[in-house]
Amino acid sequence: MKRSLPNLPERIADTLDLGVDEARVLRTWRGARQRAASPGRPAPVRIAMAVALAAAIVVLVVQGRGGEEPVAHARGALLLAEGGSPVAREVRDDALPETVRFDEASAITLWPSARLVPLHNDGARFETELERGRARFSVTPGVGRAWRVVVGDVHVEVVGTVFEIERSDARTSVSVERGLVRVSGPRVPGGEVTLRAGEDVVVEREQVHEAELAEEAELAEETAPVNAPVEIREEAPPAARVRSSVWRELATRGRHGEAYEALGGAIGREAERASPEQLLLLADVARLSGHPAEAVRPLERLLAAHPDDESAGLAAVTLGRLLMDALGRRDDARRVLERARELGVPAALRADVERRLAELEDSSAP
Amino acid sequence: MAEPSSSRARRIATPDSVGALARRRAPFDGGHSDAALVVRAREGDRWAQEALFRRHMTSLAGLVTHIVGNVADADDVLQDTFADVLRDLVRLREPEAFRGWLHRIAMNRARKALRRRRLLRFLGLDGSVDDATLALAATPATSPEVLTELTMLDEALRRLPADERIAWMLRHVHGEALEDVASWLGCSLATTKRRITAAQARIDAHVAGRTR
Repeated sequence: MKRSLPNLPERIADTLDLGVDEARVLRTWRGARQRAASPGRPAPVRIAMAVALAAAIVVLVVQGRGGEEPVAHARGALLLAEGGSPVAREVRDDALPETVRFDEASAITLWPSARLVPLHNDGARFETELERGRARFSVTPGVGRAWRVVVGDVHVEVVGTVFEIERSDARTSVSVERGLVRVSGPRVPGGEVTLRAGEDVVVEREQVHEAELAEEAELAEETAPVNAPVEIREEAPPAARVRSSVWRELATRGRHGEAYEALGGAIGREAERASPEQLLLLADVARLSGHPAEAVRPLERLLAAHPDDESAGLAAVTLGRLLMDALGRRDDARRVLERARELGVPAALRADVERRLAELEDSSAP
Repeated sequence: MAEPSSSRARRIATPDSVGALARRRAPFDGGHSDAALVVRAREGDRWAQEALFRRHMTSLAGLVTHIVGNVADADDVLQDTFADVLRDLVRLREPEAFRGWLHRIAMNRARKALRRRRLLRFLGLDGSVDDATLALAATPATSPEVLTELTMLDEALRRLPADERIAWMLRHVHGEALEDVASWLGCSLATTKRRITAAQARIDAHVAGRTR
């Protein structure tokens, strides 16, 4: 039948990897349940929406042909024009300005010494932090994704416009070339100000940060119980927050190698605050990116911190098989597989677990 | 930062040596038939609903993802399909016909997704990426000759009308029986054969043009 393609097998799927990772299974199940629970729209509403959609398409086509503004549609997370998710960007002091372009035709230009860190990225919102320096944002309108730029305690919200932000030690300034932005924060006059094209606002930073920190430390000392061990908790650096959103995004798309790189070797630290589902995902990232040893910690953490979770049995089986097959730690594997037995092994895996335990017991017998 | 190359994507898609998690998380379905699970699921048994979902998710995800050619669209189709199933399960008259009914819903959703995407592409509004092509899904053991042909096939499939694409892929990519393909697409056996033949002719013409 496939006469023009002689090398393909009769059933082409035989050459394909048909595996589906657990993150995708869970995502689909949750999405389906949510969609099933939401009430269906009555017919008149559907008709009205269809008419509105048709009108919107006509407007977009007309704008796309004649207007200056590039128009695109939003679909999932914001992606770079060259592919992949946006990650932290820094321009050296002696470098030329750099422009980051996105697939929906939005762009951010960073001037030398600027540093920009994405904080949140999905179909509804893209949030990024300008840690320092100056940046110009050109946000494509009409894609339904809200942009939010965090500059210390100043927040700039925008739907479609061109504006520039400059952050220095002393102040943050926001100036708008086109469109509308809303700037808010405790030091913004009135708490919030809306800027139109040609308007700008300068928010002075009070030099109280160090004093506030000292005051907080003093207060903590006063309220701490006597003889209690002093716990020093560092706030997660911005880079850590980025990793948290970026690696998950990549991992749930099945891009485990890139997720591993985005984690920057911080699987252990990430595991400390992860939910059971995220722990399984972290283990997937480690295993499927070719770092099986690093999958051990999230799985052990799941077993230690969430033994009652429904995924604990599965985590134990995964860990046991990993220790036995990939790491050659047979004694540990036996211990973990016995734990899996106690926790409850999924039906499909029971025979495999029993076979492995028998094999491990045989090999350890004198 | 850049989109993974096909070789990289293939490396990521390397079969899991420990076993795919999805398979490991198969629920304790105890070998119940679809019909038995449907009866329980209709009564609101969450366990039975999830057991049905997990039993069919993996195979259906493969079908839908290859047909749609894009993970984001495929996820949308799958979520809508299973949402329809959860919502309309009470209307299924013959519980033993669950698999066919599920595939009919999925293929209908996939067809709509393909048509929507074609319209957006026509309007210049499609910013999505074909990140689930057959060439990208090939196993690492795939030979260069097969990879080349898969790439050509992807190009040809992209140009096919939705109905022809779905029929051909169900038959030749996933090896489904003609009767099942016809039933899932809601058309006669003759129409199904005609679509597959038409798709094959277009594919042959594309390949001939490339190799000339």
